[in-house]
Amino acid sequence: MRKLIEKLLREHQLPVKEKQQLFFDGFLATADIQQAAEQMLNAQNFIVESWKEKSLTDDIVQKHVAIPNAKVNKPYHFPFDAEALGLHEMGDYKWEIPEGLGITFEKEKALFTGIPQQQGEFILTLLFRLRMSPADKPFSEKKIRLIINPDPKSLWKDLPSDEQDPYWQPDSEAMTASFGDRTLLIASKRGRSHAHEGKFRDDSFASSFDQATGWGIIAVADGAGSAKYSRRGAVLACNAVVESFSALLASEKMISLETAIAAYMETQSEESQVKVSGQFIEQLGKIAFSAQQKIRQEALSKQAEIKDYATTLIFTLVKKYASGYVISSFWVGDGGIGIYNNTDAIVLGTPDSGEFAGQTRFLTMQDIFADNAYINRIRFKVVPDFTALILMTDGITDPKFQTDANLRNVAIWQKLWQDLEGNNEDGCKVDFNGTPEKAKEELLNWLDFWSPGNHDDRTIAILY
Amino acid sequence: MANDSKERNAIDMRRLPVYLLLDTSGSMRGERIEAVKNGLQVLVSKLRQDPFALESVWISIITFDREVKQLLPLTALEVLQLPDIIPPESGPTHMGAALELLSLKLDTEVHKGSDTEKGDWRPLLFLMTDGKPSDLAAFRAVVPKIKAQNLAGIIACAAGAEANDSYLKELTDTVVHLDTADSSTLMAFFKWVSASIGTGNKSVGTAESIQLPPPPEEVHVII
Repeated sequence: MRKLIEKLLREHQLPVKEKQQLFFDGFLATADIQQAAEQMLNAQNFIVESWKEKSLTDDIVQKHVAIPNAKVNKPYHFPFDAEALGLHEMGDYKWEIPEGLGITFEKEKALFTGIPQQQGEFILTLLFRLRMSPADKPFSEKKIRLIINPDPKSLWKDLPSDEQDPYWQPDSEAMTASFGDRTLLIASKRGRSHAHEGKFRDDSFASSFDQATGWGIIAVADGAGSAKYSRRGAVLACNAVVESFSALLASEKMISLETAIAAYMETQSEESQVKVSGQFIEQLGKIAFSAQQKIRQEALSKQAEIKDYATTLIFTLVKKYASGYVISSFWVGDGGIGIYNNTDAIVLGTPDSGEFAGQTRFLTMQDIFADNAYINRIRFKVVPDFTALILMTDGITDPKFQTDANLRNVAIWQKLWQDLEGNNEDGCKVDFNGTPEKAKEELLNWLDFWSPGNHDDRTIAILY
Repeated sequence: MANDSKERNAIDMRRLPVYLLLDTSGSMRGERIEAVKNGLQVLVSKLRQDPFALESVWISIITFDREVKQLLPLTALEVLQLPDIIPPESGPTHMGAALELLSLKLDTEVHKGSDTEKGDWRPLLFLMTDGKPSDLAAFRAVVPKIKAQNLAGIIACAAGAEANDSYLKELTDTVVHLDTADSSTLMAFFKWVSASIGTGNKSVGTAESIQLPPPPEEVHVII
């Protein structure tokens, strides 16, 4: 106490002089000074304790505490670890949560839990006392924002496309046809991203089988989302290749093609392979080029640019011979063509993909047929048998294969086939042993599978 | 296990990276920065109502004044919580340095597609300033680097009377001007930004730019 009062006097420029020491002792011993000093100490303690309490409370109130965002219908689970969040001085506490959120706080486990019911931004209130505070002290409050995201499934709208548009096509379409000893199924559906905005399906397909020659063709195209008439480009491309194919079958060119195939089947020699390849490159190149021409004519007649009709195009020619199936393909753009045979998958080309998603090449680009660049886009293969020949747009390959490497991975093809056979979350099944008409409807349903972030138009052709 | 595979799917998903470069120099203090913060809040809540954005958009915020900071690393919209923005008392506008940091982040944060990895969507950049670059040499040095990044869109916004459009024109063809940098105008801008982000998921050729929705009347496109 002596030191305290000496310090006080010094602060008031009244230091106790050396010779005043005895006199100062007497001063300190008087009753009213004793009492005043005690009051002063108590007051100081009160101020210090109060400040400590207020300051620690404010630390907690100001402390940035984030609670992870929740999502409607997705079970929420967040352990509230006050120590880990740096709320060391917090004692007793409870949470006030707005009614109807579907989230509660389990005090014993210190756990936020529940299935969120409402989307939006909500304020949760943390009511707390400090460790140092007595139990009857009123709670202090801290507000924390909780964001509950909507369930994305609930946000997709399904707006009809404009049927009056000259380039309108149905939002979904499917077909089945007999292809010799095989059956062809094709289903095509507008993606959620297009349905959400009432836009058109940009995918298309076409096919044809010629009983007389045994040759069939399957074409699938995906119009570019960024091009205004791409849906027409896709339709024109598919129809043009089927038309050119029919013209080819009726022409004398078929004689040299069949001769080359027969020679190759007999000898399997390198020389005969080169000949068959040459034949396919010539014929498929012409067929593909005719599709580009068809689009160019349409663009000219509508005084539009050919890139307004930008589309990908994949197609295969297939025919059964005594020793196996001859399959030849053309591929520009993304998507995929594969011959799946249980333990084996042969991919008939490479998707055109850029360094970013959604970047690809289109049939409508000038350089596709320049300098024989299209040669690498054409493949041919002879297989004794196959489970299915599959052509898909990227609406299927993106969610089901994800990367170009996976397209060459037989395990992923097996998974896709099992998926088609009903091994999926929704138990959605295509019965390939049932009637083709029923399988066609089942395939259309299967196209509705849910895959976050993948909501493009989906088209799949299956020859089985 | 089922849960595990879903998480993995989420990681494999293609993201639409959106970079917001915001001027936080001294002149932004007060009403302007509050308007920007409200604008960001609205931007994020609007995007959360867009099913495509909710599943795909990832946002990063880079602020520039005397210092350049990545206030928010590239973060999924779904888990994102907006950070606080506090501009300094005064000081220069280091826009060049901000673009330099952006260039680095584009290289490190954005996934380019490869045979075995799924590429992100082409990123979008929105830059907002109420002034002009104080580090003009650095700005001019970095502009070609940003242009070479092949972004799906670069939208630069000059907010208020003191903002200079001509430097922004060096960065991008898409420059918009806000006559005033008050809260209702900035709000209109941010709403337009959210509508623009919704168009980012289109298949495009390798070099084409996205098409932007028509801007509201408060937002003038500088030709």
